[in-house]
Amino acid sequence: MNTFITLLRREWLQHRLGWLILLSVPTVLTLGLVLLGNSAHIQLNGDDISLADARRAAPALQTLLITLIVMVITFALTVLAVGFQLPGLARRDVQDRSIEFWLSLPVGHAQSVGATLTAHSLLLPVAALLAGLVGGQLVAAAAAIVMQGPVAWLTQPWPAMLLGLAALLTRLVLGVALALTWLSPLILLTMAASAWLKRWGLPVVMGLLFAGVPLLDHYLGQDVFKTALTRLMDESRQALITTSPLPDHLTLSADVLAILMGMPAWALRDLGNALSHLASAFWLLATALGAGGFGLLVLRRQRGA
Amino acid sequence: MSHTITDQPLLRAQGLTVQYGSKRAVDNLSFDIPKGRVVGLLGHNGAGKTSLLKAIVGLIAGQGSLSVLGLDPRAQRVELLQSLAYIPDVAILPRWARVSELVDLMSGLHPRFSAERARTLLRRTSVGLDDKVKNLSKGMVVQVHLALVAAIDARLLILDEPTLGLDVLSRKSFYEMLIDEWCDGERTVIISTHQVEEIEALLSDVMMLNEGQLVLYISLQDLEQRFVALGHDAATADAIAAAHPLLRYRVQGGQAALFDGKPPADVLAMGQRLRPSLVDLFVALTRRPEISRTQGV
Repeated sequence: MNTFITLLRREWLQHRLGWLILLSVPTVLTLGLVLLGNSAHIQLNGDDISLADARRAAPALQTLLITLIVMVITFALTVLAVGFQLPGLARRDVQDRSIEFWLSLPVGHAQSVGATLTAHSLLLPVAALLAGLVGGQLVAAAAAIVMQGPVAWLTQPWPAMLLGLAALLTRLVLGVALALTWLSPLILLTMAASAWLKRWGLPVVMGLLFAGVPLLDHYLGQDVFKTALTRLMDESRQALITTSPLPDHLTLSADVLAILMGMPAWALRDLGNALSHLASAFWLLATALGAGGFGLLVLRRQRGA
Repeated sequence: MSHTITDQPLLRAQGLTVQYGSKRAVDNLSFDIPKGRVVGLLGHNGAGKTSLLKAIVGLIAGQGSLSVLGLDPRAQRVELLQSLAYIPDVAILPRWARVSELVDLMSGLHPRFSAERARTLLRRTSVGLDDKVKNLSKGMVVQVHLALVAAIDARLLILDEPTLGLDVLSRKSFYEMLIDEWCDGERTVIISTHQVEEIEALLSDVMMLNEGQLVLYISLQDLEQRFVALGHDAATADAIAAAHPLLRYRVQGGQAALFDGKPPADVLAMGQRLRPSLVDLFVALTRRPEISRTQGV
């Protein structure tokens, strides 16, 4: 366990600057937008939630909406960055020529590959959720203090707020882990292709996805692979969140206390929904393919990467 | 071909072969290395040195049998690397890391690594703990790597061309640190290098590879008894050549010939006995591999 934690620490030491920038930029930008009176918006449950709306809301709703906005932006940006970075991670130690140093240490190949994957695909998105939550609080505090005064911010229903946000965060963190199991074939087979085929790995995967899948489906006479890919994406999205914790049509007069107090029950219900999707042959197939990709990555590292 | 110096070897290879496709990088090697030895592994580029060392470390698979510290390097790699330290042929420390971070990481990743000892060793170098690897010269990186490795309580150290590309001062510092920190008569070192003359004083044994085959494995003590170098003048050159030396070469003020075994007394009387150098022996055995094979060295 100590070895695995040290390997995670190695990821932090190597990537901390980029990670800190990635995790803090949305908060800083949103803070600027809020203070300068500009607007940004996100889609939640079909509703368009904007900073302009949030600024007009009561302090508690304002805090909730701003927190959601910062969380969503930070998480989305991080997932995007991770998506771009993961294929390259398969060959990172070879490209910076440090692979023989790492291989000279008494560390198992599966542990090494597992630590890199855990840090980038699980811990970093989770850190993004946490950074979004904390950053959202900072932005919300600044907005409330500037627009409605410090008393308005201090007199919010903090127990309900903390309970609601903790439930939301827990649901999303578990959702990230579940979503990863659905996405594991795409992530790990792409990384394996990059590790084995080097610079041709990503073009080959892209070629397969955008040309191979339509061709195969055309040959089979039905959309087998396209349907499978679409389902993978849908399932991973639903693993993260199946229904919104917000009411169907959010208004500025919404009962924020009820929303916050309802969050724990919503989190449990939503997580149950997401878990129920795992009881399928499709999920087993997805995780088996993911495990195959992981095995290929370990084998590549065993051969000197 | 089997070579045994003492019983209870630290490392035992029997019929070890490493292949890349149809190319045999290491060809049917059999040898034992006991504890406490400093073995120089010599060979031209492509002779199979790195492949042999990687097989010993468990980084590549080989055919035949290989036991290192009583373990199978491939199947028990993690366990083996707890008692075996390895510096590959290039300065390969991660460039993004600070020296202090490497010490911390090694503490967590190697159960026999002493961070305190590493810091003590590093204080003897010109490298600071806060220095980033990417800002260090190649010589400094190698010094850091040796300090890290020397802080491991290991029984076997494998060095593959550790001083390649370093200037004289860096090489000297490296070997001084190696002698001070590693060569204690208990721990074993296998060092592969081209700079034969620089490590000659360090070695207890020498192993020469040519085209994947082991052409010589001998202790330096035995080497001086087995190989005879004769300095002679031009007048006796033909007579000496007729005695089929392994190698004829020039030395300051005349010529010399290297014999495997004692030459006949009349030939011996024609010249002056010299100390055979590893470089000359290396040239003799690896330039003309057919001689070594037929003579069963």
